[in-house]
Amino acid sequence: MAVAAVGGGNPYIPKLAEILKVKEESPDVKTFTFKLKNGEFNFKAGQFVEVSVFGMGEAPFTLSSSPFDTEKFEVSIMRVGSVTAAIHQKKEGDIVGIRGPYGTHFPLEKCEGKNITIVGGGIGIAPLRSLIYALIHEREKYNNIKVLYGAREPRLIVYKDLWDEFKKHVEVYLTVDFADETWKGHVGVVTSLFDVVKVDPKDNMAFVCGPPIMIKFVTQKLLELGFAPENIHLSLERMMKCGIGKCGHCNIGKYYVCRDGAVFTYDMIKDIPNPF
Amino acid sequence: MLTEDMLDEVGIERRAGPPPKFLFLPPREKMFEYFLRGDVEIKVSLEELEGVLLLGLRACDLKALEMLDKVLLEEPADAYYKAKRENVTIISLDCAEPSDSCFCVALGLKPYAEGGFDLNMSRVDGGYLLEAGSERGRELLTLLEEFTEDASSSQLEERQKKREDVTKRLEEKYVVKSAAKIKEDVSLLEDEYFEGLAGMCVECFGCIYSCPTCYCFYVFEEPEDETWRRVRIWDPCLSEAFQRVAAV
Repeated sequence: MAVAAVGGGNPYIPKLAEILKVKEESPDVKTFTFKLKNGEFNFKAGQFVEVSVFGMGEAPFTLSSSPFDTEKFEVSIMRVGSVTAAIHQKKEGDIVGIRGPYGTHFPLEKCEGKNITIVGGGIGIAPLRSLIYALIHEREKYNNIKVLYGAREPRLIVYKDLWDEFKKHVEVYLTVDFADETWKGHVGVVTSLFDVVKVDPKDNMAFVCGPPIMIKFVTQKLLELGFAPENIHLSLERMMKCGIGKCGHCNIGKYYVCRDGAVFTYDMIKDIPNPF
Repeated sequence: MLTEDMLDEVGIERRAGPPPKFLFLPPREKMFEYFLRGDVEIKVSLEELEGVLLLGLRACDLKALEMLDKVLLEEPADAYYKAKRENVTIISLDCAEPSDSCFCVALGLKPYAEGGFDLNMSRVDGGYLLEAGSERGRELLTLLEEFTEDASSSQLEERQKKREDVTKRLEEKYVVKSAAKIKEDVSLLEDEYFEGLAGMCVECFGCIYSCPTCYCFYVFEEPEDETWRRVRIWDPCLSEAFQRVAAV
């Protein structure tokens, strides 16, 4: 038995990180700000990390903060199971484990001089928030930017305090499936926004993330509008476990989502049966 | 050449049941452990297999290892697999009596190894021919010098003939198809065909114990007193829960 230095070339060993901040976004979503105990953290918008809650387990989350911040990073986590419930109990100063960043990223290099259409549903807006930060950081490089975001109900809209800030730099359209008395905006599923927002597919790069059914219908809509399959970027999610293309859990067709995605162009996955 | 009685005792003509992956990717493996009290401190131990020799692997076993290597040694390499895989010596053996269930030629393989071994053994009249396939194998041949003699040309011919005979016997059993052709044939099968196959599966997951190439694993945390372990176990892709999305 040889005892290896912690981490030393072993991709399964998490790095320790401290929780700097916990922010409640909606009744079941919290955004956690982390800082690695040792070193900087560099990533690109669209990439994900594996977060270890010690004594519970590990789960994948896409980074939702600006990739231009190398000091700290954020993930927004919806409480849906054992690991996510455990992390929702965590407070400032608590320690978690981080592996990554893993996976492909949104190709900003392909977007220069182009129009950009971002479509998010529910907590699926998290990776797109990272993209929006990145685009705003170098706003002059890009043409028109539209963000279409839908949540089930007004109280489930996340990043409530950010939308006004984003509106200074990009066009923002919000919708809810079910309105309440506080809601003055559009009502309907996110694809219904395309009836009121004019989107020209020419020189337009689309970025989509949300629940599988939403991704499916948004993709259909974008194709109908005339978007080229290679210009539709989808952030998919599977049970990414190892993050490095070994454990087999996130396999779709010939891809491992953790290694060949999670950002795919529709062109890459269109021939796979039931890719969503 | 090594004499026959030296090895008959070991019984290498009989194939081992479990595939070699048991050794390199065990059914259950500790990845690391940590204490939850105070600061989290992660302890990792990588098990290396020193002085382990795998004797009598067939060409199909070596091909299976080649496929596992492709997945698990591709960067970033699986540290646990790599630590075990690196120091094991492999001595393979030509297949003299393929069983009724053998199908190597149908996948474009030969019943004898063409690479992936340190030493390969071929049975000929009166003993075995030894061939080195790596630096480690050449070192072994040097060590065995006093027990071996140079192979004669007639022995080399005998090996060639035996290899051709076994290959021919297997090829008569199977129409040899290219991998591309097999892929095409499979793509033409209707969903009902696979539904029929799936209907026979009772989810016992015995398949992962006999398959020499499947490598998927599941990871979980396990406590013991005040220590926690992260453990991985083989995970069958035929299980319904295998591809459950998120919800963790």
